[in-house]
Amino acid sequence: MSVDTFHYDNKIVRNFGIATMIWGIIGFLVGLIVALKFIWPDFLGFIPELSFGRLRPLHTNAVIFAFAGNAIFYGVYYSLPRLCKASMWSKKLSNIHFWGWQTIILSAVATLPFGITTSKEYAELEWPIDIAITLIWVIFGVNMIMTIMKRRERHIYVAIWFYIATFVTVAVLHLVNSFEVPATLLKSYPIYAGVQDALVQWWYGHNAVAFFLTTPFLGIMYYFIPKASNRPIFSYRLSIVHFWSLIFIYIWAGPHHLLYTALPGWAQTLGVVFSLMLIAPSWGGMLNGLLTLRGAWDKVREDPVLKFMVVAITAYGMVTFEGPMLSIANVNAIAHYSDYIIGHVHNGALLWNGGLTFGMLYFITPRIYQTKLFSTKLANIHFWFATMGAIFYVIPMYWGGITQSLMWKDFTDQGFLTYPNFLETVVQIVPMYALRAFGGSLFIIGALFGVYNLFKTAKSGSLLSSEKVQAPQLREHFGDENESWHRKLEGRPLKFTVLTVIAILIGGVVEYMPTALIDSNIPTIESVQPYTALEVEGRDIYIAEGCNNCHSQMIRPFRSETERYGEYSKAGEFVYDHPFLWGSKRTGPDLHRIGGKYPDSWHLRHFYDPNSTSPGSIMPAYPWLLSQNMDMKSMPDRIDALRTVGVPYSSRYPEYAIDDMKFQAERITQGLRENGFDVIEGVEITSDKKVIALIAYLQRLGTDISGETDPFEELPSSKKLSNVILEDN
Amino acid sequence: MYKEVLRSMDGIELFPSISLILFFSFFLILIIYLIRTGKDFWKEASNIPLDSEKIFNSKNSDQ
Repeated sequence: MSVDTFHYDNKIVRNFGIATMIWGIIGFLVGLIVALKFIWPDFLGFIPELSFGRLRPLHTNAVIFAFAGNAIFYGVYYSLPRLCKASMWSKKLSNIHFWGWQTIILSAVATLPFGITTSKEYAELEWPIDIAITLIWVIFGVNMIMTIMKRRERHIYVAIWFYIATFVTVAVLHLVNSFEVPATLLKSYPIYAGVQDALVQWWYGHNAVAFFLTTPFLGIMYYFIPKASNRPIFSYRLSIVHFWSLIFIYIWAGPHHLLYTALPGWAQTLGVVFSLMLIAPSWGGMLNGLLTLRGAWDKVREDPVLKFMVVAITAYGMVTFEGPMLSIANVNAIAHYSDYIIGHVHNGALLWNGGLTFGMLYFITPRIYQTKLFSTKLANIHFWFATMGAIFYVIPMYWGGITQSLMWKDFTDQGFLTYPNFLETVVQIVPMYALRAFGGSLFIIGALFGVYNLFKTAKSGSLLSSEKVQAPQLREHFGDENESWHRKLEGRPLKFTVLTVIAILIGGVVEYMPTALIDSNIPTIESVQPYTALEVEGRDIYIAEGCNNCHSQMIRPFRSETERYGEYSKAGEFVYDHPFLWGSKRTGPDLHRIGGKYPDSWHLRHFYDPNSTSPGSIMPAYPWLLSQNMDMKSMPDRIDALRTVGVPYSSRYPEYAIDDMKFQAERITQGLRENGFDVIEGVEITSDKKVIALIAYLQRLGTDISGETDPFEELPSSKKLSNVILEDN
Repeated sequence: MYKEVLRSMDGIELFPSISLILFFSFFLILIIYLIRTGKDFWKEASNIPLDSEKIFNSKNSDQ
């Protein structure tokens, strides 16, 4: 038997660790900034790049893909070679992966604040970055699978299964959700529209949580909990059931994000049933993690690594109990669109992902720097700051969310809404927003203690950048023929990967295909027409400013909603919506039937200063919409792209798009002028400004269903073309 | 076009039932298999994270 000598690359582990900490602090701070805007809407105000709608996606992307993403790679690059008894397959690919991933994050920082976004949650990055993500992800996957192929340990440990599932599923999710047609270098439209787009997006969104924030961290749990407690996992057999049931069931649960929406009922029901089933594997996994510590709880008292990990697994248990409960339709009716969900996700993000990440950082850093942790006491202080911070964050959000939601639904004895003014329900929970910001601050202070502690630890030791190890070669032919089928599978990474792909594809296919194939799932409404060129521009501004972060466009069929907003939303109303803009949170009211509700001048004043029309509003002011020019030049290209994704404009419509825009904008501006709104606080209102396009879009919203007006009537295109829509003139 | 392809497939309505049966049997067989193999069978596998500091891995030596 020959023994190989090889090296573990600790430098790449160190790099991912540093990136995790830096991006973590940045992501948390952006989170704190947006949290403060709930209390002081004008905090850092009047700077478009720092407005809430643009920073909120930056916060979510930074914490998910930069903080948690780098943490995943940190854990994988440390544990995978050790579990495989092999160095990473290619050091070069490891480095390309590291720098590529950081470049992608930087490109997010360089686009999202500038309004370059697709608006699809956790998939906001525009198409060139989507391509870069695909390339870097494949590089990560190839490097990982090849390392597994070259391993010197026969059995593939369960943590690696979770890593493989992460790689393949995120690849599938990212590809399917990113089918989009570029209109310009930094603007694209998804090929799906309305209900289909919503279904694909939440199949993606839900499974991004499942396969980016859950499965890789479960892999990390299965490696680091035994490692830190120095005992094997409670039940290896349970971990096998955990793995297969989790990846199979998770993929189906996406539609629970769309309950009571215009999504077909059967798809909603499937989502609910699978979400409820999900509690079994989730809790199986949680118990497996916690029971590993049987007889070792004394260690938890002393070791900050285990403290963080135990709280992480406990939080995982809470969140995975909450998730299925929130999927029950009548619980969802109360919690959806409210701050309860913000509390729910931060319970997971701060404690589960954050806890495992900091636990890992405290475990790995002293080891690769061949030293002791600088201060256990400081790590314990960090632990308490993190835990208390999360509690102060989460509980006020639960409280505020339910309070506001019940206010939305409250009726007087006479049968009128008790709080007809949405704003009343917002003002009520502002103290909860203040408490949330306090909790977030505690969490950040704790994280800063952590960074300092780890920095001092690194300073006190020296990095063992290449760790020498020896292990015997793996015999070519592993196992005898009598081996059981699962045993064989465990030794064959490629077959294993294929089986994983099949498991995750089935749920997606069964849910998505019928919606795509059977026309009766989305009844068409004859009077629904595509947007005019100016409305397309207004919609793109709505997307760029991130209005969908606070406003939904989906009125659920409840009396409390139809009383407040108007007729409930129908699937057929969204057939030209590329992308859908249903939103997931109502910090402000729903906008689906805003069209015609207020005069143009109300919107103009409201954008300039929301408090002038709605005293006490926490919506930030958008003065730049009155001074920045709309983009007319690229409109023909955008109409072309929309035609490609299936909006039935005439092939000659792009020629007339700019004329239409000018005409319609002038008509709105003229109307404002006639009502005395030619100047607002010294700012002259002209027809080329963004606000005019946005008003055009808002006034169109939800009006088609009445079929009273033809949006293209009187526009130049309708005079030149016998029919702007469908007919190829 | 792809709609037509799928519509023209014979017996496509059976596919969901077949996949349900497949998956149900997969889990059934998996659980029976795990119960039959017993806890000790997995002892080595579950020790892998703890083993990694040792030079020799468990099953791979010339025993």
